Amino acid sequence: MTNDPQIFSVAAASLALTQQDIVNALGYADAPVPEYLPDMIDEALDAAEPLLDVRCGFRVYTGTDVSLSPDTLGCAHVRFSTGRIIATRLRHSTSLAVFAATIGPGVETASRRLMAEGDDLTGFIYDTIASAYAETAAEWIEQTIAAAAAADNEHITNRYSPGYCDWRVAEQHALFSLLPPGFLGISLTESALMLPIKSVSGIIGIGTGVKREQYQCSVCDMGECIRRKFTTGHIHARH
Amino acid sequence: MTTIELLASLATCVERGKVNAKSPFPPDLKGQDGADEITVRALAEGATPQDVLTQALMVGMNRVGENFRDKKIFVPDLLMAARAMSASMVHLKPFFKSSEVRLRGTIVLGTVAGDLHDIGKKLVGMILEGAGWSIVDLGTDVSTQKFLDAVKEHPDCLVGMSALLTTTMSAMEESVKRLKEEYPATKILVGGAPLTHEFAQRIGADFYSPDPQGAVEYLNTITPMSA
Ligand code: B1M
Repeated sequence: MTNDPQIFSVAAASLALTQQDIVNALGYADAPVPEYLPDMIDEALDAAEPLLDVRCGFRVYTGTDVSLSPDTLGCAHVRFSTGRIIATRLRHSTSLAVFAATIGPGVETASRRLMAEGDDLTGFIYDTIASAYAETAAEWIEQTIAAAAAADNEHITNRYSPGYCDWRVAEQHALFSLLPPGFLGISLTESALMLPIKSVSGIIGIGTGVKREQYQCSVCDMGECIRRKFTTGHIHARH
Repeated sequence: MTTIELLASLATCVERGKVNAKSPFPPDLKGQDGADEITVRALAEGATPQDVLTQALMVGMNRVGENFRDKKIFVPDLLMAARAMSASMVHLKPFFKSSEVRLRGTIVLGTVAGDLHDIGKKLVGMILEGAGWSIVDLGTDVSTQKFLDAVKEHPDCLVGMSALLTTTMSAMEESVKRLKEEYPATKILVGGAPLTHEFAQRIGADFYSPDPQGAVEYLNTITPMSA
């Protein structure tokens, strides 16, 4: 697998978000959907598509660049304090893919404009669509990394992001130092917020001895985490 | 309909998000008057503007807040309810100036410095407004100084702060600390996905709620509403 940064511009069609995805993301997976919503969602999905600028990418670090301990992760010049949960899941990795995905600022800007004009509902639907696209873009890059690994007869772990499972969001700065400056047009604020907002970042382990696993929320104490809600079936969206 | 019936029906319009007669939603109320028309009728029939606020809008929005907390309804339903409430409020606005409608007080709301999350805080504002509070929304990325200036401008206000990332919780801590130094009597409520009760206690906030209705219930205990 190449160690050069890989960058992809992804067509919205390959992310294939459906009305049902947005219905679920809005909370109605197991509840009656208000009559007005399906049409509003369809219209918003149509309007959002041309505003998307989906960019995904990753860079693989391998060999001596990778060093793992029970609760930290060494990657080139950086040592992440990921905590035990993530370090354990990544412990058999021989390479690490540092990735990011963004859908650009377009849909979020439109959402904010609608809300400023007083149309909170349509604005919120746009925001939910933007979040769902960001998550789908992260899934797209995960699958792309999986395919590249498979070509070398390797497997991948789940993707892990700063802000989950005891890995502090503040380490976003270190994570982005492993990617070229201005990667995918994403910038970080001092408080480690990615701009454009609808972006996702993280790390995936690669190797012959790794595998994707169910999230083990019982070993973490982050009560309100979305993964916990997802694994317990209360919420259907996830990064 | 008596005024009592009109107020009950207005509360239902708010709860169900029935804005006006033209609005086709919810389908089972299609063709019927909505919050807009019923408010006009209730005022014409002799309900006081204060009655409209406390016996209809607040009743409806309280049910909305409870249902939202219990995950019986979701953000779109809440936003429809807020639309219906606004359609009614339009008719009450003139009475705010003449003090015929008394709100419970002012809440200064903001998402803390370094944090750009807006929607959650906005929803909290809508539900608190529906509980009879005047909301001063400072927006997102609100510096400590901006919070201090707002409290100076609204001396008897309460403050609500929101943070969505652990990295901006430190900004919340700083803002709470400074506000408490300068205005120790000002109550501060905090919320947002990564917060916990323990964190709120540690930084000296008066109350933490994971959802807007928790904030309403806390405020009810410290400032009961007289009809
Ligand atoms: C004053 O009194 C009060 C009382 C109640 C108060 C209150 C004040 N303020 C709020 N409330 C409460 O009432 C409101 C109404 O119900 C609520 O407000 P909310 O704003 O919470 O609710 C909104 C209406 C809807 N909620 C939301 O829109 C957020 C939902 C969750 C699932 C979420 C989403 C959708 C997204 N995310 Co992400 N995301 C999560 C969220 C998990 C969760 N359970 O909330 C959270 C916020 N994200 C998190 C993270 C880590 C991240 N996200 C990221 C990305 C994303 C998406 C792009 C995929 C997407 C959109 C994000 C966006 N900012 O627009 C990344 C950051 C993005 C960036 N720009 O930097 C990234 C850093 C992950 C990464 N490394 O890529 C976590 C933050 C925790 C932390 N450790 O800091 C997180 C809590 C998930 C988790 N771990 O459970 C309550 O909090």
